[in-house]
This record gives sequence, structure tokens and C-alpha cells, in this order.
Amino acid sequence: MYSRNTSNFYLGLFCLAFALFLIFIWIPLDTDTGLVDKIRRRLVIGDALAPTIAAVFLAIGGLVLIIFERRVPSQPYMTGQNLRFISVTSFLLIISLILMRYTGPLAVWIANLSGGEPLEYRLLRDTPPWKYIGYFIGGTVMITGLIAQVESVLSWRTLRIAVLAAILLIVIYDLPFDDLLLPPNGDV
Amino acid sequence: MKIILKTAVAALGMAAMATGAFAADWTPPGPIKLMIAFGAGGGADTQARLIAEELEDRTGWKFIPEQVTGKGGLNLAVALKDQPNDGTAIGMAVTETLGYNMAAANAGISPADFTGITTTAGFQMGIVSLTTKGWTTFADVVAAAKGGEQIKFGVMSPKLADLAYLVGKAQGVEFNIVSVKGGKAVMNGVNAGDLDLGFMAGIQGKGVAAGDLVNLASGLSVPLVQTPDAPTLADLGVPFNGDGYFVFIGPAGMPAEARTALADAISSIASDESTKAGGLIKKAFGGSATIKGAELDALLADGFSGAGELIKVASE
Repeated sequence: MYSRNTSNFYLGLFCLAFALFLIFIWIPLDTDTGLVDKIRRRLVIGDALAPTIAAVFLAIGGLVLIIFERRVPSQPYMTGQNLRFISVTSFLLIISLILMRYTGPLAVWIANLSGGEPLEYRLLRDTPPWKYIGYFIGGTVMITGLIAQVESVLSWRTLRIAVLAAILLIVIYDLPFDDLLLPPNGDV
Repeated sequence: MKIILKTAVAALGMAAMATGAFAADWTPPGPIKLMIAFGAGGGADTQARLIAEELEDRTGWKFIPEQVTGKGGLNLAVALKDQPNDGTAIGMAVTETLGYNMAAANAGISPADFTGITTTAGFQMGIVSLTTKGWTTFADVVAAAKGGEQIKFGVMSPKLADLAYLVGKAQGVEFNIVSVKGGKAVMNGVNAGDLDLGFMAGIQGKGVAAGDLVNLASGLSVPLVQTPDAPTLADLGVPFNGDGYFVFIGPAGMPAEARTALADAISSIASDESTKAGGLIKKAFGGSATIKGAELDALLADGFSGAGELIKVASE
């Protein structure tokens, strides 16, 4: 019994195209030494060898899908629901991470509006309460959003759980460790 | 003439005092990010963290250590280069990072992109084997290689691999040069018998003192403190050496007062054997070696410009 579903074919085609892109464009542009390199009169493994082998396996996987798995039954297929789920999840994660990164600096910027000695978020990244602002707001929004998406409903209960979870994570990861910075403070 | 000289000396003294006072007044405007180019838990990492700990106790400054390892310190250099240069971001690497490794990578960065703060200790770079191998001098190694034995020579950086290759070439033998990550990995390899000998930068001290390891040669331009009779690389026919230091650096253009304050604070701890950091430096590297200011600038610039010759010779 053959399937009329073309998911495997297009997935295979994508894998193959991506593998070719890796092998002929990305890897050569991103590595200096080629597949093998000659150092001190000896051939040594070059920077490009390992990623090229990975890309070759990706290409083989793509070819298997195109040639052997093209017409098999029970192929995965894309629906509007799948796409919506992926889009909403991606949107939630991106928004949460943006909030996590920028609400701390935004709070400092607002504080600076009231005058006085200008503050700089980078220099406050290890000072409470500034250091918690981004992680708390971004984390709360992320957890609230993901739970609400799975449950298909946004409730105060969900928000309370998210607030508690964010606080719990801060307690676990920040309070006991003197030298550990919560996101995004290591990168500001 | 005498008056001019006196005036000049007085002016210099005043300037030095003023810089000193200025530096003593400097405090970082926020926590200091301390990038460490070495694996967590190793001797170099411990040295960096102990120095930071002692600095926190002495000055009240706050340090946030962070591992930025890989590519012989170049990952740290690249990350540090664009950090703010107000003294709130510094890194600990080795002079080889800004010398051979930077020159070999040809990645468009040079020591001019950094501010040298201070060195803390020089390497006691030896070529080391297990005592049970039966070798007492480097000549024994050469004899074994000429007798057909495959000699696995452990190294922890491309520069040392070049030196190992050139020692073999100068002695008319070919070593199987094995690159591993860090001096500790070389020592583990030698202890386990996976490597026959290897470069160790001071970590071998305890083993040599106990008689388990033997310094067959000095990888430096000078004899080793612990084994002064071992030949240097020059004695073995190699016109290059593995001299190097642990060095604190910052991004280019660091203000003089920040640079001086950090350099003075770090070097005073490295030199103080009563501190944990100073004690470790004494034990592992034979004592502190602090080079700062213009002398350090010259050392870093020379290391970078001189690396080309070694790279060229080793690829012949």
C-alpha cells in the first residue's frame, strides 16, 4: 500500500539541500584547514572533517527518505494545528527571552529618568533587585505562556504557578552561589 | 647638569607617586568579569580563582569568574577584546595566547587589541617522563628512539608541538607527537603510560620531588629550578624555547589608573607566599614572576612578532 503523502519526500529534499549547503558553502567558509591539514610533515585531521562527515550523514538520511521511504504509509504530515503550535511556541519563547534580556536595562533606563547619578545595568548585573528583574519577568511570561498554550486557557492560577516557579528557580540557582549569574546577566 | 638631573629625578618620582596614589584610589565601577582561559579545576584555574578570592578580601572588589576556554586562549581573547575597557572585564591566559597562538591563528587580532596587566608566574616547562621508564637524560630518549622505539610525546599547545618536532629533528629522530588538552592531561597520560614523555609547565614539581617523575630537559631558555642539570632546548639544538607566563590582560585602551591598580593588586598577591594563591604559585611554578607596564607590553609584542619564525621553521 503506497501513501500519497509527500512529507518524506520534501523532508528528504530539505535534508539533502541543507547537507549540500553545509558541505559546499557553510563549512568551507567557516573553517580554515580543509578536510585534512599538513602540520610538521604529518597529515592531521582538519577543522572541516568532522562537520563534513556529519553533513554527509545528513545527506544519506535525506536520500534514504527520498528513495526508499518516499511512498511508505504512515508518514508524518503537517496540519494547520501543527503550524499554529510551533508558531505560538516560538513566539512565546522569543518574547520571553527578549523580556528576560531587556527588562532589566529598561528598568535602569526608567530609573535614570528621575535624575541623579546615572546608573548602568551592566554594573548592576550582580546587585539586587536589578539582577532579578529580567529573569523574573521573562521567566514568568515564558512559564505562563507555555502552560496556557498547553491548557488552552489563561488563568490566574497559571500566573501564580509561573511566579512561584520563577522565584523557586531564582532561589535554587542564585542564592546559594556567589559567583553564578542568572540569565541574561552573564552576557550583558 | 646636576640640577637638571635632580629636577628630572624629582619629577619622575612625583609622577610615580601621583600614579601610585591615583591607582590606589581606583575602584572598579561594578563587578569585574574574570575570564579564565583554562579548564575548571586545573592548576591555572585554581590560581586565577584564588587570586580573585584574595583580591575580594583585600579590596572589597567583586569578581565573577567565568571559564572561556578553547583554542589556546584565543576564545578568551576574542571574547575579551570587545568588552568594556574600564577594568570591569579582564582575563587570565598565558603569554603564548597573545604570541604564538594569535600569530598562528591569523585571526586579525594582535596584542595591540589588549592591555597587558601583569604576569603572575613563569612556567617551569620541562620535558618529563616517568622514572620507571628508566630514562635519566634526554640522550636516553634519543637512544631509545634510534633503537626503533615509538616515542609518544605529549604536548598541550601547537607551539609545544612545534618544539617537540624540532627537538626530534635536531636529534635525528621522529616523535609521535600527541596533542592533549592542558598540562594535567599530559601528566595523566604520562602517569598512565599512554604517553612516554611530555611537556609539563610546573605541574610535575611534586612528582619530580617524590622521585616518580624526571625532568629530562628544560623547555625554557634557562635551566629548570628543580633540575638545573637537565639540558635546555638550546643545548639540544633548538633555537627556540617554551618560555611563558600566566598573564592577566584587559581590552585595549584600559585607563592607566585601572591598569596600575589591578596590576599592583594582582602582583602583590602572586608574590605573597602567605596567601593561598602565592603559596600555590610557589609550589607549582617555583615562585612568582611579575612583569608589568612597558616591560609587559614589550614582552607581548615580541612574543607575537617572533612567533612567525618558529611557525616557519617547524613547517619545513
